[in-house]
Amino acid sequence: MHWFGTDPLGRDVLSRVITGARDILIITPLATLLATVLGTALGLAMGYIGGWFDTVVSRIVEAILALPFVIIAFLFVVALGSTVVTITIIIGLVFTPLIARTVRTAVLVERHQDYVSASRLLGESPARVMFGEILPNVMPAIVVEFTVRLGYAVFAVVTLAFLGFGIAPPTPDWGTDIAANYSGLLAGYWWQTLFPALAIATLVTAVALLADSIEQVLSA
Amino acid sequence: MSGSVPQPAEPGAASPVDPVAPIDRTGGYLGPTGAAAVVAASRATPARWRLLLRKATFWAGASIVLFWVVCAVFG
Repeated sequence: MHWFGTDPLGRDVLSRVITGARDILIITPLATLLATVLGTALGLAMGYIGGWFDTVVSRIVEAILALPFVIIAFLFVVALGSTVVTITIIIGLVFTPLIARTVRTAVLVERHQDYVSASRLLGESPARVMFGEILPNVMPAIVVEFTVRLGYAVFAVVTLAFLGFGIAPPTPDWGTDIAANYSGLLAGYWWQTLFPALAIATLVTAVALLADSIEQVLSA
Repeated sequence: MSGSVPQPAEPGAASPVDPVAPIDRTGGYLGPTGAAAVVAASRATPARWRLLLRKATFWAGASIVLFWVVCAVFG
């Protein structure tokens, strides 16, 4: 019995929705983790070192952020191919400047605190001050940013798949399935599109709920 | 009369009277105020995360994510 119906090729939609979660739940956390690690290191350096380094890197970050995500992703996907690893790296790199900017702002607040001055006076190295002293104090902002970016990463993966730059068929994928079947909506074959779309909506909503609750707790 | 109104303590906050007065890194006595501050700071993060477990939105989000993780792993 096909609870969610079948697609034009006779494949069970329920099975494809369940299996389609696999790649998204591999790519999304890994890409967000990559972006968080790189963005945190970059943001810490920008905020702590300051001066010409901060100015130059900030301009580069702003230049990257001025470009639409899809355009950047297309360039990398066309150059590197669309595998799980490449899509993970692409989304991670695209989200890195966003996280770096947030971390930089948090570090700019912390760098003038007394404990940072005390650490410098004790002769601690810049790396030790950044990662040992400042990082623990900006960690709440990083955790919130990670959860927020997780939701955006789901959208990014699905967008790439919908536009034909995701995981190659016949591997089940929510975005690919919607792209392949949405033309059937007008003909009355709504279930081929609705259930993958509902899957995306529930996952993004769940991640947003997690991000919201973590933000409320950490800002209390 | 200068009566200070006691503030409600966060879950997991340190008791104002700590039976064990800690010493700082240099071996100096911190005193009651310093002792309470040290204990409160050391317990601040677990208390925050315990607050998270009381939020309905957290459990709703975690349940849905867990559902999809189970689907991805066993599907």
